[in-house]
Amino acid sequence: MKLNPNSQRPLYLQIADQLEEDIIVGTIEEEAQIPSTNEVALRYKINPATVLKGMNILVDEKIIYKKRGIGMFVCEGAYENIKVKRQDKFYTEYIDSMVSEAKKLNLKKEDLIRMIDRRYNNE
Amino acid sequence: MSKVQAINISKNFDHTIALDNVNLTFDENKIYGLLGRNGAGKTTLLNIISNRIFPTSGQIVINNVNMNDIESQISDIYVVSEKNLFPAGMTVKDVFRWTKEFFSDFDENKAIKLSKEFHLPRNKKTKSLSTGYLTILKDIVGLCVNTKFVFFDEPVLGLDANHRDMFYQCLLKCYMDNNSTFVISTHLIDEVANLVENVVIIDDGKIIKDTTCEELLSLGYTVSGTRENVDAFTKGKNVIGEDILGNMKAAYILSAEQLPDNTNGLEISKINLQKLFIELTKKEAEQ
Amino acid sequence: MKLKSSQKYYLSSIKPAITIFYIVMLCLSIVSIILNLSLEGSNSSFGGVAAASIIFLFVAGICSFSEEFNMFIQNGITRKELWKGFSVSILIIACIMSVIDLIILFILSLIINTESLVLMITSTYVDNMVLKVINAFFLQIIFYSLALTIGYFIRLIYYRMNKFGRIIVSITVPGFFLIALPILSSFYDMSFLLYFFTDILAPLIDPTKLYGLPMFYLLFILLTIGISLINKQLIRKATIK
Repeated sequence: MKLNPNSQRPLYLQIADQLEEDIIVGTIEEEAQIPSTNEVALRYKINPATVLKGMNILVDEKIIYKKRGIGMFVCEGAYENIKVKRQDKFYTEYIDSMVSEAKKLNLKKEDLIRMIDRRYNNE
Repeated sequence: MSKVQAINISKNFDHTIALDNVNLTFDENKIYGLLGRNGAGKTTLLNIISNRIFPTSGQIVINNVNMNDIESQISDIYVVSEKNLFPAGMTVKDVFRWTKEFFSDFDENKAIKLSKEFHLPRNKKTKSLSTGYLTILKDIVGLCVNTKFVFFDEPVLGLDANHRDMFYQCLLKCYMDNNSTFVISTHLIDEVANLVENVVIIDDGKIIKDTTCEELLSLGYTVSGTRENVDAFTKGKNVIGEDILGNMKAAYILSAEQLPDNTNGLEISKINLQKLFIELTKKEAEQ
Repeated sequence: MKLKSSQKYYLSSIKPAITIFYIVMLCLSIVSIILNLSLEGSNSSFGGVAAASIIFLFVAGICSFSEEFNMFIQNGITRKELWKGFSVSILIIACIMSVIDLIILFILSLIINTESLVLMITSTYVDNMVLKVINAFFLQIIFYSLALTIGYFIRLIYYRMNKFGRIIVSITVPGFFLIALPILSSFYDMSFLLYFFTDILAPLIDPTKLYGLPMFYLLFILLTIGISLINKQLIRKATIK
């Protein structure tokens, strides 16, 4: 998990982002335990309240849940949850800026599609 | 709810106003950053809180009891200051022993463990410790004393980078282990920016900010890019400072609004706490 | 007895000094015994154990305060508790030293000639040996407490004053007693200054009167308590410098 202290994005959101990333990439599996607030705080030398805030966002979105006295675990179905959420955001975060940038560079729609094809084929 | 309050604290020294009607509340179980320039009044405030000097007016109230009314011992707070108040001839070992005598919750074992980690020799007298190690000794005592509120005045002054890092680690651990409130008064703002939950800024004896770190940082952002782009963007905005290098410019903006998505080739980044602090406390002559 | 932390600290900080003092006393006593026994027909006497203790405690009082004050403030002890702790410690030290000094005196008196100021004072009031010793014990406690209290008082005055004040006091007080007074008394009869002592106090503590001894006690007890209360006020506004 990497945190960027210079990014405009508040730290607690970065923590939520990073945990989501770990889940969707498969580093942390569903029903697996995630590091505790204190562990994360200590590891990155940030205030536990900040970490808790980030984690609570994920709890609200039903991505992780708390088992009293034991710790935080990934919800069943979290992967799907995140996928849907990110797919929704995909348009604004990637497509929008991609097309605006492409227009600035005078790239036509066909050029874009060709580039997309190329990238998919390189998998 | 435990709390330490400074109520209408003012302090005059001869003809200087060191503190001007300071009102602050420190709640339990938080990490505070007490920030201020040289001479802003941080140490004076901490000296008043630690009962070393008396305010010209106002009072310190600990858990709703006026500090002056406390009979034998003020046991809910502990202040680690720049001035060493331990006897010159006392060994580190004895400093721990006596702290344990005065504060029954002092974790002597942890203190011994930390001394080993910091390589603080326990048989040495305080007068033969270097400035750095004297600071380390005082910091270790502060980290192990386990009072509800612990105030540190420049805890890492004179410490090398490794020791500074160790101190912050220990502070976080101690905070998580026993839920004390730690108040760190420091110049090294960048180092504590991520550790603190609340920030208090003192300038010229007055409190100019007393809020959460998050709220403070959300007060603004940095916009950087070419001069003309930045100027166009910042028209009509509250620019609190600028850095110019050739054709490139970075402007620091105080604004609570959401940033527009289309930023026209400009880079938006978080305003960092130290930069914000510098801008908020810049004096006329330094503009 | 269960001592409070502040008292424990005071006692522990004065312990080294007291230890050295008694080691020196022990050495002096031994030398005295050796000299006395080896020199035939010597008529020497060893005296001033109490006086030495008084001077020692006076100096100890002067040396107290700064370090203890710093340590107490660092550990959250209030100024009121500081004064209380010191007061109790004074009594404890005075009692212990009184006992030790009488024991030293007793042991020495078995071997060589001894003199004691305190015993001489008590002799003017009582004849009975037992009463003399008992009175000596209590008087020593009072004198020792007074010595510590006065020493402490002087230290406090200096601590509270700024540099200017200290210089003034350091010059004028000794200057008055050592220079001004002798000069003045060579021109004028300065004995009126002693009227307070000769005409008022002396009759009060007249050994021939029944109230003599109690008044003697009262005088010194009040003096000790009075100066101690002044010390309390001086501490109240003391700040860390």
